Amino acid sequence: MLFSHRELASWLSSSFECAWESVRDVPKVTVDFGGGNVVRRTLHGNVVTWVTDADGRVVEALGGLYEPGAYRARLEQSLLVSAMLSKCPDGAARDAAFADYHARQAERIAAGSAPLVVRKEMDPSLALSKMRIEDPFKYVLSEPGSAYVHAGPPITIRLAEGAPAVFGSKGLAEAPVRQSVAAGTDAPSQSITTLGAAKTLTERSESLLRTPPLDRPRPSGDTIDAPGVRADRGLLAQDTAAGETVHRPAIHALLAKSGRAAYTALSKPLYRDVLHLDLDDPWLGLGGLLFGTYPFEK
Amino acid sequence: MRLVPLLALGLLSVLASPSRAEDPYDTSKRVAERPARDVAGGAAPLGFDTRAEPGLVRWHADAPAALAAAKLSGKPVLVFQILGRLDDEFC
Repeated sequence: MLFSHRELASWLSSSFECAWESVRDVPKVTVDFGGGNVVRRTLHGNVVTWVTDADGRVVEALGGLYEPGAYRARLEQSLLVSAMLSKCPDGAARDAAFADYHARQAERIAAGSAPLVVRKEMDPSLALSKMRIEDPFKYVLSEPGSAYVHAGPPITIRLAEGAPAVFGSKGLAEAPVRQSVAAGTDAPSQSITTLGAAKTLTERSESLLRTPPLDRPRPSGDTIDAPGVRADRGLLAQDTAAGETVHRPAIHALLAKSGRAAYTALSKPLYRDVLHLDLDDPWLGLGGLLFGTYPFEK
Repeated sequence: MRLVPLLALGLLSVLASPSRAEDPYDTSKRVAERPARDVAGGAAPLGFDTRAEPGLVRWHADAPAALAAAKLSGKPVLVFQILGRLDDEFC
């Protein structure tokens, strides 16, 4: 489970006020093989992570499951988006900045470009005397890939020749989506092995990479055709790819249209329009499949 | 030989104890079997007790509690929405 990841759980607890809530019962399927042999699993579940302000107004939303490194990278960005919005002088400016951020992200990702990133930079317009009492930083929405300053000292690791680049948590957020998803952050033991090109990671990212991978291959060996994901990668990698390339632009578009609304008001539309899961439908959209051509007993 | 009456007395007291009279299962069997009254009483059958720890995150009791805490701490709120329950194995 994502929240059993020690490093990630600790960071989440210190960075956010966290709560989980159930939007409805999860459908379960039970197969009775007879002789007391019964298997049970869930069907058609999905999750949404909302980042909100203290009034419950949405800042950012992530649809579906993510790998720990990618999940943290997205949430680190959401902290910066939150800080960027809080620096706006009033509610109208905040609403405009929110809509602009999500509209631009939706357009870029839909066009196949890497998403923009929010950077924390020293505000040169503030006088030194003012910096003592005011937040001396400004938050700038900018192109990915340009230089940034990370918080901790860099750690140099070596990657095998020809291995895909492994990015730190900030780097992951700034790397083009398809490149970062394919990079293999959940399989560090394969990438960080022998001599080769040196890459740097932040300490925090390295600790995330050290922990055992959560991902596992699909038992049947089948893979989902997700852009930018290697065919031999597991389900969580493919979920991450789908989250970043399919769900993300749709969520940005939804938020750009809705404005800075309460997350509770956006929950049903997001599940229905982005994750294709109508919470008001007792059969979650599967009624036609279940009862239309095959006579399942209700 | 003085020990024999004492041992017999001890055995009788164990057999006559109320807990023994109410619960005829020996403890070794209870590892593999469950008392019938538990099953008949509606307890989840073996393998279907689906409670689970909701990870290592410090969760507030609910979203309103997290929002209230955010007003004091200044931190953003993270709400994880899910079908089912995070503290259930089947979620």
